[in-house]
Amino acid sequence: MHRIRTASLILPLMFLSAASASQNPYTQPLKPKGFSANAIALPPRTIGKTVIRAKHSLAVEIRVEVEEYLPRNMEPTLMIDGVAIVGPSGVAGVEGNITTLFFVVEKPELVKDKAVLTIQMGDDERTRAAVPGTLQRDKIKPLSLNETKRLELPALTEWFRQR
Amino acid sequence: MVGATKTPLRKSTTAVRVRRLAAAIAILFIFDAVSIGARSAMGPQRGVSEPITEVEAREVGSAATFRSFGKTGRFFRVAGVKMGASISVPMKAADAALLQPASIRLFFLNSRTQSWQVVSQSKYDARKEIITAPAPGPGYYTAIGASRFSEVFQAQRDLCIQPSRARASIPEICRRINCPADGFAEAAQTVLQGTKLPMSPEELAERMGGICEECFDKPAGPSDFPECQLPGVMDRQSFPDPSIIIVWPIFSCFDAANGCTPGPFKVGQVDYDFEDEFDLIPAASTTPAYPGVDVRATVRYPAAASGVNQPVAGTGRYPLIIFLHGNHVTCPCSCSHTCPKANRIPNHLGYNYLLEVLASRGFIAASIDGFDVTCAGSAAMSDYEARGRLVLRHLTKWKGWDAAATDPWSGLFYNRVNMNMIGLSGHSRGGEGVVAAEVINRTEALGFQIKAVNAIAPTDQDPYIRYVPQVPYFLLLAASDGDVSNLQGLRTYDRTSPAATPPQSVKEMLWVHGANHNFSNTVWTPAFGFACASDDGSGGGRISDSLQRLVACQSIVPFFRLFLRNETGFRKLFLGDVTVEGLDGVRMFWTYQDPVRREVDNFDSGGTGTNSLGGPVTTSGGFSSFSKIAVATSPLNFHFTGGLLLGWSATQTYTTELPLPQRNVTGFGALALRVSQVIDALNPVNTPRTFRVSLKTTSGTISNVSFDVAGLQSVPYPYPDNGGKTVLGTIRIPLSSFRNGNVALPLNDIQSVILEFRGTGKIAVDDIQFTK
Repeated sequence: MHRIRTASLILPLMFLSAASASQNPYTQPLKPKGFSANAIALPPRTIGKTVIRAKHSLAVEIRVEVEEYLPRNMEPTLMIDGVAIVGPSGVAGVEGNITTLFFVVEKPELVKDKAVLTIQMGDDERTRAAVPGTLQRDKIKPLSLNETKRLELPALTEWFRQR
Repeated sequence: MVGATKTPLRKSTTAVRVRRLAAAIAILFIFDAVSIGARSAMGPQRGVSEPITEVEAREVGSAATFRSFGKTGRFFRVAGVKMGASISVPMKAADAALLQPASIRLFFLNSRTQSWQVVSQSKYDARKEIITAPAPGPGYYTAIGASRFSEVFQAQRDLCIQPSRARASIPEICRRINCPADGFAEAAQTVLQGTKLPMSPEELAERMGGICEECFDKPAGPSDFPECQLPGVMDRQSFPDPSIIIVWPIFSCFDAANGCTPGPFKVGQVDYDFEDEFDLIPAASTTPAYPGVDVRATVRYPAAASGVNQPVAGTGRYPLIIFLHGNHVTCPCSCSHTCPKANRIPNHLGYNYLLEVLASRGFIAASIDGFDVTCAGSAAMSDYEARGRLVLRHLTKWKGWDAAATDPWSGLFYNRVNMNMIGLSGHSRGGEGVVAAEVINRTEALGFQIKAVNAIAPTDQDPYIRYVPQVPYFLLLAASDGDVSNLQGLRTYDRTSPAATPPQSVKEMLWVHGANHNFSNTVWTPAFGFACASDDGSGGGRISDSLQRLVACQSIVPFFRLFLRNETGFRKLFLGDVTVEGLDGVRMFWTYQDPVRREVDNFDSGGTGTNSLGGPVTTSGGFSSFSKIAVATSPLNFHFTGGLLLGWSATQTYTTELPLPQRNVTGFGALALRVSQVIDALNPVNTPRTFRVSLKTTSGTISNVSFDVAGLQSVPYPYPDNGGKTVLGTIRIPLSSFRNGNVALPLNDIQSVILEFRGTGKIAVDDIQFTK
């Protein structure tokens, strides 16, 4: 019964996917509209005896706004000056037809001034698209002083100097 | 004599012929069972490892006199049971699990009326592992021992999966013999009432066939119970005693080629929905990574009647299987989590076609709605760990519902969930999620008894950790996957149970040409009308969405039946020895690794001159390509294993030698190797060529087995329509196939394995091993 009700409610929407049978929508290029960046504190993380992160660490989260984002199972990939970032990513939020994707950069040397950002789904180059704007370190919102002290993290400017 | 006893229900000559055929098959089966039993009595042959022991029937509460016919007798007989006394017959729970609860009955032959009847109030006590019943009176009682069930079951399985019979004959007889929903017991009672002694097995088979045919053909007949049930074994001698009790071993006679066939149980349905049940918080943190996670699922289970909220069938516990979907839109064409609940995309309902069959086969199957971890993410906890922990949260619920009457349905599942037999199945990110659940459960000692894990087109992309299962693992991989198009899930197979890394477990893989990512979930399939469903596949050679679901059902259901219900006949399916019903035109390639093996060469280390055992490797010297393939490099870049690249344009041989202490392979049953063709001018598509696999003894005797490398039969050709990915498949050659004329090769003295190639070709090879 529930299924019938659900199906009837969304049946009209099936026409939105009318082209799906003839064209794989997952191969379409993404439509990034802009981005923002801010420092975040990554918490400790363990699974059983596997220690992924022993204590809090500083990282930069880059949030990219994408229009008409269609999720798939391959993770989205952020590239900074062509270098693919390995780290957590996902959907940070949705506002109308704009989906905000987040990417966590844990290596400070990758956060370079005037760096060009591109995004794609996984390693699928067909979906690649340039993100408007360039990266600027001084535009990255730092953690609050209190949070930085409480978690014994370096200041963002200091973190940039790390290798 | 067959057909000596006619049933009055026959209506046509055709029907008679069909029935006689069915009867003949049944008789053949019975004789097979008997003869195998006789062979087994002489020793552990034909895979029957346990010696026969007679059943220990005993009288309860009185000093009855027992007399056994001894170890070679077929029946154990109990004499002098007083009127009103009870008798009990032991039956292991593992054996009982193979039967329908309603079928576990004692039969007796009433000496006055000369008719068979079910012993009233006979029932199976799972806790004590005995069948108990009041004795019908003084006399001799005969039981076919539970200790012999395994050999009977094995005989039935052997019959069922013999290609020559299984495809045509067994389903035919299954349809006729399966009638009552309640199982064989009632059918037997109906048939046997009024039967005069002596009655031959042939006569019995004839009568069973006739009655069941009528039953099956009734317009309102229980044709939704196509489970095949056959009488286990009947002694060929007539029964001399006035009163006989038989514990009738009934095997759910599956057809290994058709494991998706619905079983005997009616299917019940419930749904549970706990909104904002818990926060997913990383260890050592107080901030939720995923706040307010719902615990919601749809459930199918074996029920007393079909429909919602029906009582669970029978009295025992049923294995639990949890399904988890992958990443997809949460609201119509959007990753939003704020659309009205009724408008949400019910991603978890897309596996109902599997849940229904599993429930009919005696599993409780639940599919989780991962709404809060779908189209989501967290820097603090990966999507995959979150999915794994969500699965474990559901298991916690089920554990509680089994332990006490606390479920939302007034204790429906109280004492009914076999929490010692848990299976997990996940699709896409859900595939990585269920493997994560197994890893987290094990490494954090949570105590859930997860016994089998299946992943359908899984991801493998947690940025920090690679999850590796340590239980039987089945990977279903789609060649035309247009979502996880880099086939990253293939690596999970390679990483599972690598050489010399205990504990080892079975791992299996099915590589399906023409299958895409989405069609395994009906909600993601355009034909079902949900928003933003799509066909992600590309290229030619595609298979339809319904065919793809049949592939899933014909492999996933058998996987769980094999590892959660010990229906070992399905092992042959995963070895690639069975042509799957309904999928003749689908190019499918099986890969299988047994924990018991001797790896001659896994190509993961060393050069080309020495194998993994330290033995020398030599060639004829003329290979156009002869090099090690480093882990995860071309042409095995989608794998996570090394290999050997061999190219040839004239006859060449490759010889890998076993060191002297390793030459006794009598403990193994087969030689296996993983092979794939690679895209190359030496490998024109669909051009038949062969290579031979040989074993050579120290004395120089050579025995060959030839294989076709056309890509259509045993060796996968790279699926050309999705980037030409090279995926290894297993060739498995029974050691009994290697013969020197009529003489078996001495398996205690195998010096070397020789691969001989003719014509032209180029292949990747990995994991040359002797295996169980």
